[in-house]
Amino acid sequence: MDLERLEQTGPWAWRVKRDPGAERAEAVLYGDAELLRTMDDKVLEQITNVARLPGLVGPALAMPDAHWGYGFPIGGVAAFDPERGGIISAGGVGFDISCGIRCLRTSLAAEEVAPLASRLADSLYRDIPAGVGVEGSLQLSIGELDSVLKDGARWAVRHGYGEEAELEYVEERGRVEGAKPQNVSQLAKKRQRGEMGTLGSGNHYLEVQVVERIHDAAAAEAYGLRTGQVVVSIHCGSRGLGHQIGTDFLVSLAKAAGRLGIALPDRELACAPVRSPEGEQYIGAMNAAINCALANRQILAHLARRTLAHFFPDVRVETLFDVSHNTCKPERHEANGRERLLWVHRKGATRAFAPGHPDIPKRYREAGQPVIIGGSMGTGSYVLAGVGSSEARAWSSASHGAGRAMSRHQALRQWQGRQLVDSLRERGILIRTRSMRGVAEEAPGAYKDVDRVAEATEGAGLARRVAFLRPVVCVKG
Amino acid sequence: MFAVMADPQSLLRESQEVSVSFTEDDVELALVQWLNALLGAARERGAVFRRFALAREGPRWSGRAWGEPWRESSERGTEVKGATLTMLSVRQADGAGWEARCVIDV
Repeated sequence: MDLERLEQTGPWAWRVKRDPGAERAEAVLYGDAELLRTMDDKVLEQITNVARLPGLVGPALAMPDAHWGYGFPIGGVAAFDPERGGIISAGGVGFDISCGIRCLRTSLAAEEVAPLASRLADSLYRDIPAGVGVEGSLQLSIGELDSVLKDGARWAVRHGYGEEAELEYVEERGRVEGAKPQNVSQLAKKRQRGEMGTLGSGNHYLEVQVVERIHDAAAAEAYGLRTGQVVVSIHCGSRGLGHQIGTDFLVSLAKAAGRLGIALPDRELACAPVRSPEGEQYIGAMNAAINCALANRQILAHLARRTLAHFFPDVRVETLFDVSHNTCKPERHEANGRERLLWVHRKGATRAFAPGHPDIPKRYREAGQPVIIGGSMGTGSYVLAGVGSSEARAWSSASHGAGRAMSRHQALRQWQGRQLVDSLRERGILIRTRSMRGVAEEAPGAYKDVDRVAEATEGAGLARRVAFLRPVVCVKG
Repeated sequence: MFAVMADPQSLLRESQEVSVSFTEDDVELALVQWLNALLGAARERGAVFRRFALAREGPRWSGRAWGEPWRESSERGTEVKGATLTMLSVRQADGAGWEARCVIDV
């Protein structure tokens, strides 16, 4: 990205320069010069386009891990006021609706797992359905699926996948309101019937990780994390149902925008006013997909827990937190001196509520909402905590991952899956996958430096680092 | 698009056939609808397609695709989530035929 097109407004904040006479369109990017320099120019173009959408409140924002997406950049955040014609955009949520991370803390220490790591990796690979076209053991009727779409993770708990108490630590307590299964196409439902409890492919994973560093002792204590502890992170979303909803509404909202007189700077920003029949139709379907994703991660968490219990019968596996990073949610925020209900798009960005927020579980309320930055399989991930400054800077949002630094195609030209798996094994990281090509596409070198992203996230006042997690086993989707 | 998910060299049979029809005035949006309908049909049936035909009569589009059941041995490790409107273009190419393109989300 050409930094000449940006004006630095703080050590970690940059505003896009406006052309003289251009319409009001404020966009802000967070990160240091190096992170921004390596971002694709498309991020700049896309975030500027987002800033031109109707009803935007404050600037359109790009997180430090931003990269080129469809419509919104990945790492894009934007809030819209329905009272001022604010829109909801399918391109601002993405195809994998409510993709997110479930992080489980265990009672295990790294040295307990090390001697069994290879067998544990094999068992997780066998027990966690992953890969293209792979179905799980659950086969649901359309009626049962409608219940999943209404009740989310609560449906899963009712059917024996986990405990009621852990829903406290799932965003929305495991179920978002306003889901309308009737707004979801039959094709979307048919695609999902065999996909509940599956990881998917691409950048989805299940990792066994070890807490290697604590950055914030008080928050780590609140989160139940200590150095050397084993945790499990599961990254996946709403599977075929979410993808189908995304594609169904991309076209219908693109048409609606034209009908409603919304001039789209990019057709991929397909949108409709929140308060319009088209907007409401999408919101009902999107919420159904959010519940689908919450249920999916609940089931996968249970499967992982069961596998761990096979090796360690006395193990305690508790949900640290479950947070989505492809959503649009109505939230109360202070804007221009008064509290307003805004619809906040976070596409490849994580909600990061500050300490004291009523939606944070009591146990974590003083520390702030847990935020998870998932890294690549060869580097590591971070647990962070929401901070007060993020509210004014990014509607309480933060980065969601390391963020791609190059395309899958470029990665394929540079790395070979087998070599990567071998070199990672030498570093104590066991990879289990059905596809070596998929491993090459997800090569650690294809991602930004996760340490730099986490540092920039903290520096920009979006969230503060709590712990660094080193991977030891990775089941690739 | 299916070659992203499955090795095209391994797809040899046409034991499955699917018909898709839809209405769309905009030729570019029709491309996206066609591709997404194929993806949905493939996932619903557990199939992968290798040959395609699409015909237009006014705004009505009728398509067919032929392929075979999905096999793990054909997998290339990438799942296509959907066809997008990014870099979407459908135009008559020089000479005969059409050139249609868009970015797919993986």
